[in-house]
Amino acid sequence: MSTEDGPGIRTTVFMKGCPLSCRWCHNPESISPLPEIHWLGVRCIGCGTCVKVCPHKALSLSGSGVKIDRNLCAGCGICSEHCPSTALELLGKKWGVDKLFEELIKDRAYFEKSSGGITVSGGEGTLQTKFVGRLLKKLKAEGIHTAVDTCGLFNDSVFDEIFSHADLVLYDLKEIDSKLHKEFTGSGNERILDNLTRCCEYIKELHGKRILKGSGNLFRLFRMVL
Amino acid sequence: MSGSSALKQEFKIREPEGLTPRIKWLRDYYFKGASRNWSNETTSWSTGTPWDAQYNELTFYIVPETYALMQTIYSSYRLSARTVDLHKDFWTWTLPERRAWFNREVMVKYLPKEILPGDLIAGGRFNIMTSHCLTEKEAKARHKLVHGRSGSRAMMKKFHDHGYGNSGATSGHLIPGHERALKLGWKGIHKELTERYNNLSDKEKKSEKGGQLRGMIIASKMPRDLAAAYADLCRTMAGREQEKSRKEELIQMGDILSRVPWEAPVTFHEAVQSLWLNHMLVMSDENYPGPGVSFGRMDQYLFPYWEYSIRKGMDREFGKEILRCFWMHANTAYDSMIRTGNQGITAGFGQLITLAGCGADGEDLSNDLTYAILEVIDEMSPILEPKPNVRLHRKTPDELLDKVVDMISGSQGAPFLLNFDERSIAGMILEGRRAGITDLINEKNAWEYAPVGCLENTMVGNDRSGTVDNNLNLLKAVELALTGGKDMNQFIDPITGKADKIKQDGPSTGDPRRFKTFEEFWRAYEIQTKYLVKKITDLYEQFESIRAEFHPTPYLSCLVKGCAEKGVDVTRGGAEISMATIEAVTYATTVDSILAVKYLVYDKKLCTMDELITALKDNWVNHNILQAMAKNKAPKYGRDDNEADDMALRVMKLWTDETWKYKTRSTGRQFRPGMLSWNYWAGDGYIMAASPDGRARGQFLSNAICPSNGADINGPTSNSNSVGKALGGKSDKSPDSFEGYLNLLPNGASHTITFNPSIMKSAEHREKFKAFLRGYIENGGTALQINILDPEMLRDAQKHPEDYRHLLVRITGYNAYFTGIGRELQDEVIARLSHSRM
Repeated sequence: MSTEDGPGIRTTVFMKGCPLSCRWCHNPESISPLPEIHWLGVRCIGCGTCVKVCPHKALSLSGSGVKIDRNLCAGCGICSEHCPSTALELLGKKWGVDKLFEELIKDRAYFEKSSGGITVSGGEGTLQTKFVGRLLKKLKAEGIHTAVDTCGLFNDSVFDEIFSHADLVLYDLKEIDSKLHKEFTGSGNERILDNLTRCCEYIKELHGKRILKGSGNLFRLFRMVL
Repeated sequence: MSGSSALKQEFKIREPEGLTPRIKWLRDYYFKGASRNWSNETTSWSTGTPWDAQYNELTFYIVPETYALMQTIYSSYRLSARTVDLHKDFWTWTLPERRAWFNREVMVKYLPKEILPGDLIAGGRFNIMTSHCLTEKEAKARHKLVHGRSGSRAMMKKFHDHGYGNSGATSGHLIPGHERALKLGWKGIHKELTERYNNLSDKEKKSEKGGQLRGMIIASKMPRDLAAAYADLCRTMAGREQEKSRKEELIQMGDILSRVPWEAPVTFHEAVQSLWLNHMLVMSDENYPGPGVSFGRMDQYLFPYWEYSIRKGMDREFGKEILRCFWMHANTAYDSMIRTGNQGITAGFGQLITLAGCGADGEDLSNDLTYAILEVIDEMSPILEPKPNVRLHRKTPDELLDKVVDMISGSQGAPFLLNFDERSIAGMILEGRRAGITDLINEKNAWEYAPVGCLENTMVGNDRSGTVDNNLNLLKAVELALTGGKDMNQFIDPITGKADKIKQDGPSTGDPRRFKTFEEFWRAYEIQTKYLVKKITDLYEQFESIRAEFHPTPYLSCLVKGCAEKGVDVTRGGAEISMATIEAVTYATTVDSILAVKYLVYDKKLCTMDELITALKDNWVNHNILQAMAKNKAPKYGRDDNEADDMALRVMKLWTDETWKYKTRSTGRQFRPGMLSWNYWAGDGYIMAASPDGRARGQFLSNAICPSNGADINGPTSNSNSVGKALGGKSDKSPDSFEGYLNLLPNGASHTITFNPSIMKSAEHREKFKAFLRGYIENGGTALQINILDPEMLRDAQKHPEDYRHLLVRITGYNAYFTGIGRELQDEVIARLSHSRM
């Protein structure tokens, strides 16, 4: 249940992988596109099971807890499977569209009462274009409100494959000055601003179509988060 | 919910603002507690016989905190009792007549009568302990049944000591027929009773039925005589009063009291005055203040009087002022324990009122009085009594929901509990069918239901369902399944140090180490569950039959439909709908424990049954890896995980089906299922053995229908979805469904969710919260209480209790002052807040 990722009560899907690495990132565990092992000290009982089962000898137990050697860790998740206290969590789980869909519609009653729905966030959801596209299409077919949160750095295919199935795009423009953008996020914003312009054209184009179809709340199709 | 950072704020305890000088004085005076000159402290009264006694411990068997004090309390009331001069024929009367006469004598002639400055309602002292009124022979017989070797006290203690739960023949917990008493006046009730009696044959007049009706006739004159005494007092006070407007008020009150509650009230002031006296005398009659003596749908049956008086020119604010005085009176119930703590240490009272809710066609019935009452609650908060319960349903108007959400956001412990009509009504309809009383509860009238005590749904004015009488720890069946029917730990009496031998208490279900499949384990659990249900119904029979024989409540019987008709006291099953509820405790701990056995031993084979049992016997000490797996890896109820929630439903169906099989033998009351679990989940956590879900002995059990602490890691919507599924979920096909809802617990189930204040931080968020409630109507349970609390503030309150005297928190179905609930429970409330696994 999320109340912060768009209108109404929502369930948010956090996708792995992001082209930016913002200094203030809220979800740094979602930057890498690969599954990552994460250790939570408050849960750890110090049993050492993880050290024993790791096939890559990437883990060690010290006075301050479990140390992960990122160079050796392959993100296989075996330690997390065996960790009795869920102190080691594998962040990044493989989901099929159908199974994820089943999970997401459990809160349907709350979406309906609040005009809420599903938000794909991240990471950068648009990186997994095909998957997100299929998921949103399926949700939309069920009449569920769909939103995508993006940093603006995406390929052309995203328009047709994802945005055409989205009711709302949360366009998170981090900084207007490209130099500052690069300083804070590790990447310039030329492409992002360019995409934004194309988004405006896309809206105009869709606007026309929608008017012909006579449906939809057009002005909420894109909302920029600045 | 996400919403990462709580707003940094200064911790402010809500205090009422803008009260009128009258109410401010009354409220401040009330909170002076033990230093007040006036109080409603309990007084004790005797027939003067050497065998006399007052305290009826059967009604307190469900309060384990009192066990150690039982004999002391019993003796204190005996020793402090003042003797009442008896009528010369007293000992020739039947017991109901004696009790009715004795209580009337004490209330009318012996108890002092006062009216506090500015008060608009009369009826001050009502906490009394009155003589059992037994003859020597009767007293001896009762003594043996209660205090004998296998007497009720010994059996009650054994049941509790060994972790089964508790049971008692408890007073209150019903909604008297207030609407009828207002419509007829006591004059009408008296007339009806007299006619009924006169129509009896001579033989019947000499029978128990005749005695019962004579007792009720005596009782029916008590409100008239008491009101007359208060009317005199008002006039005397008016004569001495210098201040003109107060003088007029007192004259007015005198006039009102000389008419009602004997005559049917006409104005709102008369109706509220009647209601207060009628209600307060129930508490006197039962010798126990406010244990779930509830008002029902007050905004409905008082509305015609409200409308009348408003039409006749009553200022709306004056109408509210009458209600505020009524509110203050309800709180004086706590004066019974005034010297043992601040007002309401355990908040064990529940004079519940019901507001709003649907009508016959599903339309909403809220009216101007509903809002006036909500305003009064808002203005008076924080205050404990009466406890309001707002009924929500699909057609609840936005206006009401806005008011509800505003009030929740502006308070700490929500100022009321929410009840959900569709799910609740589905439960009532199921009850009608399973108990074979569809003439009394059906699709046409089930909407008239109202909750009593905390959240226990019953019908109104004709229903006693004993809603806290039986509290059963379902988890005991898991323990017995793991031991083949014996206690896992030996019981050692903490006071005497005496150890009970471990015996074959439950059925012998075999050595679980030999169970090859989970289904074999389930079978053992099933047999032990059936044993538990039978055991508690047998135990209750012992208490119920003693109450039926020795403790009639003739005044209350006048207010419960069925008693006069049958000539049978309400304590003997006189109510038209006469039920006894088994409230299951430890539900989520039980479900999670079964899930853990399945996961650890059978599905994943992470340990053998022998290793698990050894770990439990060792209270998990030196088994920390297995304990961590049980806690963290095994599935849990409360996450909207279908595998776990299917198990929850399986557990629910088993114990509820079993419950419907029993009736009390002495009084013919049908058992029905519910989940309240008051505060037992805390105390019994120290009694019950370690459980397979990873809980060590000494840790709290789960509360009512809530997921185990820390288990609801998927947030409030998932938590609520699980609760709805555990009650039966939704189905249009089932014959038991109502509007598509199923509910296996007609009593209802307590569900508490705690939110961080950030959920209410903006208007947009408040809209989302409203939508959450609308979603809960669809997917959730029967009753929800909401805490809006910042854990940091609570930690500060633990450090500086003196700054937080009035901080109210929801425990389960009731509010309590945070600083008064004891450290363990405080920690538990803080732990609930996290919504995350530690």
